Amino acid sequence: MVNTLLLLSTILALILALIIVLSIILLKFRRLVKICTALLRTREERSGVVKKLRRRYVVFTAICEERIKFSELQEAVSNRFCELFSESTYYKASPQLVLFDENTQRGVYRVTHLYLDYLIATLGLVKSVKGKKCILVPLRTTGTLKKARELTRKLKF
Amino acid sequence: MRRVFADIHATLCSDEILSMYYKLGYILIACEKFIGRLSDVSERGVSVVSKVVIGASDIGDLKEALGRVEYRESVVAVHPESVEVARWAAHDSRVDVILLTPSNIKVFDKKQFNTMKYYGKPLEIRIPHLLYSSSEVKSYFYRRLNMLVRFKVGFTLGTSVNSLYELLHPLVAIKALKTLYDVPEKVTLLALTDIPRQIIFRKIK
Repeated sequence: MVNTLLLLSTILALILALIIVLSIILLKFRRLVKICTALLRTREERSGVVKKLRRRYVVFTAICEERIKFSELQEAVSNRFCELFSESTYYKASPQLVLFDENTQRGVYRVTHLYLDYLIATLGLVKSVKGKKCILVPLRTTGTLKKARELTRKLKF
Repeated sequence: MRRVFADIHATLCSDEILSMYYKLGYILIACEKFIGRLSDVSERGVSVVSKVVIGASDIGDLKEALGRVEYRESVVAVHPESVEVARWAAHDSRVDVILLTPSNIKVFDKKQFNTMKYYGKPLEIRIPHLLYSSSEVKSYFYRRLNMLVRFKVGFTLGTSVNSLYELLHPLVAIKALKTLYDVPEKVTLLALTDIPRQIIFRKIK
């Protein structure tokens, strides 16, 4: 009887000691544990957290029956975007026509990096601007407005 | 844009349309109706082959139509209106592609996709059907497209161009299918490059 009690008490003591040692390790190497758990997390979970919204500039050209104006183009693209991807996505993407040269019919659209694909799809699916038949061809995507401005002049189509 | 793209279906091809095709990066086109001279086309860097679409509701009609078609020179697409025709078309070597439209979407089931995969027959889908149909039809297409991707059956995309302003940039097609139909970019890229390219190359002398 005494022997079994002794055995039980030693087992309990061992478990307690193990818990204490583990907690000490966890406290002391908290940073290490954090890194390990972060590594174990899936890539998707990690990519879900976006630290900063970045901007992307899409250089495009318009091929139309007649020349189109800045405001007309902006209206056509925003309408098509809302039609395809709903208004809530439009607010999140916040596409803005930064510049549009009415002589060369080239321009630059700004959008958040998460919705770049949505904007490119929309640009290509615009078929008319204020009743004029039109196609918008996305040429290049850049991260700075300066580079986008250069590309509107340099790019050949 | 690298010139690697191929279009499996254009309704009308004129000089103007072909030069725009070349600018957008297309080099191989299967055309239903062609206006102009073929020698001008090769100078432009675009290769054009003729395209035939056969609509059939029973096997007899299909056999008869296939007997009349010059299948060695033109791309043959079958528009099946019944399950039997779809199954038959899947294993007939004269048929190049099987056409999927809103009117025959219910013909395509798991068994059909299995047969098509077994005989290596790709499916043809037209981009205007994907983009300008009603919401109900779009939902049908969503399910069929994702089933196709899961079954790993090849498919090709046709623009069905009638005029210059109906043309679509290949990048736009890839992004549109990704955002609207959840089709992976690599799969769509294959549908615009390798699969139609193999079919059209077989027909060029």
